[in-house]
Amino acid sequence: MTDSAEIKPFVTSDIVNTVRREIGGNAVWELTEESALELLKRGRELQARLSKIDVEERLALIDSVGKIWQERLQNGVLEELAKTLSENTGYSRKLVDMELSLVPQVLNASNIRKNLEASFKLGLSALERFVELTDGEYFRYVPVGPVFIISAGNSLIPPLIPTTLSLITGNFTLLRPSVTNYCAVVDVYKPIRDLAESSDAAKLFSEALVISYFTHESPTLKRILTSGCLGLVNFWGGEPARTVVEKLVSDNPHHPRYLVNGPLTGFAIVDEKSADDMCARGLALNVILYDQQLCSSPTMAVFIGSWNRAIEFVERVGRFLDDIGSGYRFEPNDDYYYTLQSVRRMLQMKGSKVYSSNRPDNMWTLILSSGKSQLEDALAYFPAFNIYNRKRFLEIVVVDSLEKATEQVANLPSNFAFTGVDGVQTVGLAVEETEREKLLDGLAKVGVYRITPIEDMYMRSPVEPYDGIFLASTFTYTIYSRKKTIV
Amino acid sequence: MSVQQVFENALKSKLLSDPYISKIWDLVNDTTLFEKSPDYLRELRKTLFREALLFFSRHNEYYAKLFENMGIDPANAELDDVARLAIPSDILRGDGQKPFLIKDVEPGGEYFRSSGTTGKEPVKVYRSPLDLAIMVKANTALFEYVYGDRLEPNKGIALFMAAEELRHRLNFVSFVHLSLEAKNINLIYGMDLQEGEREGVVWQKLVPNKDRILSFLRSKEEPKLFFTAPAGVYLMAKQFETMNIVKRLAYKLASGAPPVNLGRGGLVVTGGGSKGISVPPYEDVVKLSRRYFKSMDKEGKEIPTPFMDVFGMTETLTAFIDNYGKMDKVPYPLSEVFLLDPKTFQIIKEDEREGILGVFNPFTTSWLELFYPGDIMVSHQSDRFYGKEYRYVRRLSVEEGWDLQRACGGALEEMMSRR
Repeated sequence: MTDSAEIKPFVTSDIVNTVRREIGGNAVWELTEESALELLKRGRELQARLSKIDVEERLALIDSVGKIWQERLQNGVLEELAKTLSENTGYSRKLVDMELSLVPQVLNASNIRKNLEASFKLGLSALERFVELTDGEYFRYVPVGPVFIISAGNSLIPPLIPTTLSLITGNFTLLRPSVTNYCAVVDVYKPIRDLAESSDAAKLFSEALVISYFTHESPTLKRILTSGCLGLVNFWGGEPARTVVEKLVSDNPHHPRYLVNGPLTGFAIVDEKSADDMCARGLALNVILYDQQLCSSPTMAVFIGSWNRAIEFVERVGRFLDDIGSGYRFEPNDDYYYTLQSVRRMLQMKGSKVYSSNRPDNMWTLILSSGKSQLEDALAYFPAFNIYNRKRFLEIVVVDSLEKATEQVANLPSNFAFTGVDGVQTVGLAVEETEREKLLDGLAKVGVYRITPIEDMYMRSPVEPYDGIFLASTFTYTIYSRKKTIV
Repeated sequence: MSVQQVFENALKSKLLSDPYISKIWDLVNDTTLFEKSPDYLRELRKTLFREALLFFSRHNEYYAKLFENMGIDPANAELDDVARLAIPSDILRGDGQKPFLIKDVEPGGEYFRSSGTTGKEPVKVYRSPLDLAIMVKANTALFEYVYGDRLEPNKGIALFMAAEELRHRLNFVSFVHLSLEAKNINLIYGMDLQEGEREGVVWQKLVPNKDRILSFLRSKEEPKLFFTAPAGVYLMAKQFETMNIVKRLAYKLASGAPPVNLGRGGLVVTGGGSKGISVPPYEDVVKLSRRYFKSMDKEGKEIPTPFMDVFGMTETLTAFIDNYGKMDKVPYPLSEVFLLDPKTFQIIKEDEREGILGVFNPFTTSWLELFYPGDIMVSHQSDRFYGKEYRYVRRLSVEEGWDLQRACGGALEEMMSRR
């Protein structure tokens, strides 16, 4: 965290008190226990008022926030923020710029509408009132909140998605982003407050959104989880925090739902007939973007075909990694190089072929292994080179059948080299159309959540579910009403 | 196995009929090796590493495949190729050495291990009888070169601040033991190994054996050779320094020290660095210790007590040795030593740049002994046989991916610190 970053709660209320805490030598101000609990208590009443606002008006408001962001981006106002984000997250400046440019897409009314339509089969009007489905039977989607979102990670977009959907579905929303992107998240939503001066809806929205950081040991955090008036806790991240939070939530007398979006990773499957430049470029791009830290980032791959064709493909990917990677500088600390070089050598000794760059700001590595992953063995000697620390590093296992490719995907969660992730979220495919159908069938049985073209594994369509669920619908519950008796 | 048995078994080795191994054996027995020029030795090593790669290709298919996979032609290999083949010592944990051993590896040797104090399996390296014989010959020759004289057979006495049991576990102890045995120099072990229970596992600690230490101190034999971790000699000197007059007199009556009279040709040999115990910089250890450990030249004139430091590891057959104030660390003439850029792992050509130490011992016959142990060193030009001398900078840290513990003196210190 840079010194310039000041972490203070984003809240529009007259009842707020804060308390100073420290994280890594930096001061943060978080809500006091009393303030947090009081805000949540008022949240229920606020939700009733929010639900009366037309969905279209809600969408228009969020869209405006996105447009304001776009303007600020174009005017260079976000320059300092981008610099800070790059320093805090370790992401290259180019990557941060790309991420900032995606914010308006997340807040775009049309995109959100598509997502809501995919989530709410009875139509968006059911978010405002009871809708008749069959003769005399009515349904209505009601906010489940107050919602408490605990988000982790460096990327800016992930915390914006659940927060926006929670707000749009009428929830009082308390967001705890990660310390590295806190200021950026606040910056995104800040315009709601400015819009509140001229719009009642915006005023309500600004009151319904609270952003506050809480340290891991924070008494306020513990109190919110164990006794806050909550309807849903949405946790993004892995162990041990996931289980710690779960235990605290289980003590809460309001019995909030506990929704976890655990750590996942990406997997690429390429067959030799599809291993062209476009595919190689796509794979390279997805390896570079976000330093392989997205749930969709490919951290392992299989090549279906011959060893020689695999070599050709890897050399091709290497050229794109050189090209694309030089634009997204990756400068790890000194410790990283030693571990990386040692792991490369160990894999080489184990019979894998190693392709790599020794450019200190673009240290990519492609490992070609025959039949089975060798990375697990290497990690036994260098456990520090775990999935969180591996960057621009991809092992490609060469197999001779679709079944074996699917098997590799199925085996990933139990592979020691992938300790810390729950499983595979995204499978990026570059296979022949006829093979694709067969592969989809196999992949549907091994617990993956997304299957996309390899070129844009990192991109989300507005209608996509999140890790197997339609997130917006989990922020509501459905009320059923019947006019007539059945008997 | 006594040193006599080591040599008897070595001479029975079938490998000696291989021209390459025969050449190695001759070279190791060549008493003029340290008189050769750096250029001559450089060329010799180049020939040796090419022949070694060919030898290992013939004796283990794994190497043949590996070289092919890496595009290395043994007959034309260059030093850069050698550097590419170096493995991290970590790979030798447990049975990690097994795939690297030649198929016709000869039995009857010994295993040396690292301390294993990290909770992981220790590094374990097998030494065949022929390798053990080469180890004794090569290290003795290197030791005598750095010492500046021959260790005369049947003369003198040595104290090693280790337990005798470690002779079969730690290679530093082993080579000192066997080398002195070969010279028929009496070696006293100043420590006992005690077994204890801790957290449900059997563990061992070293405790001083006062009687044996006193017998060394009282001995009139010379030269007296004192082998210890830097912490050992430092703590002893510190103890003398802080003794009150009464205690000092009592100790003097009982042992004749302080000061410890090491006699003509006497010296202190340290090993293992300062890991495990808080020890001041080496120069301060030497400065303090020289007040309480006294030595003389051949004519009986007092001289600053020589301090030699041995940098050895489980995975290397021969050590690096320095002589404080006279020369920095030098390797055995046939060892190929290179420093790698910490980021790119390319060989560093210039001197005075910190690099990751890599070692290739082409004279080890059971496996391709080509590794990097996880230490940072710098080189500088030297007019001695190797053309370069090396200064130890530091051990890589756990954060840097390194958590192997030193296997010689370092292990002793660790065990000492647990008392």
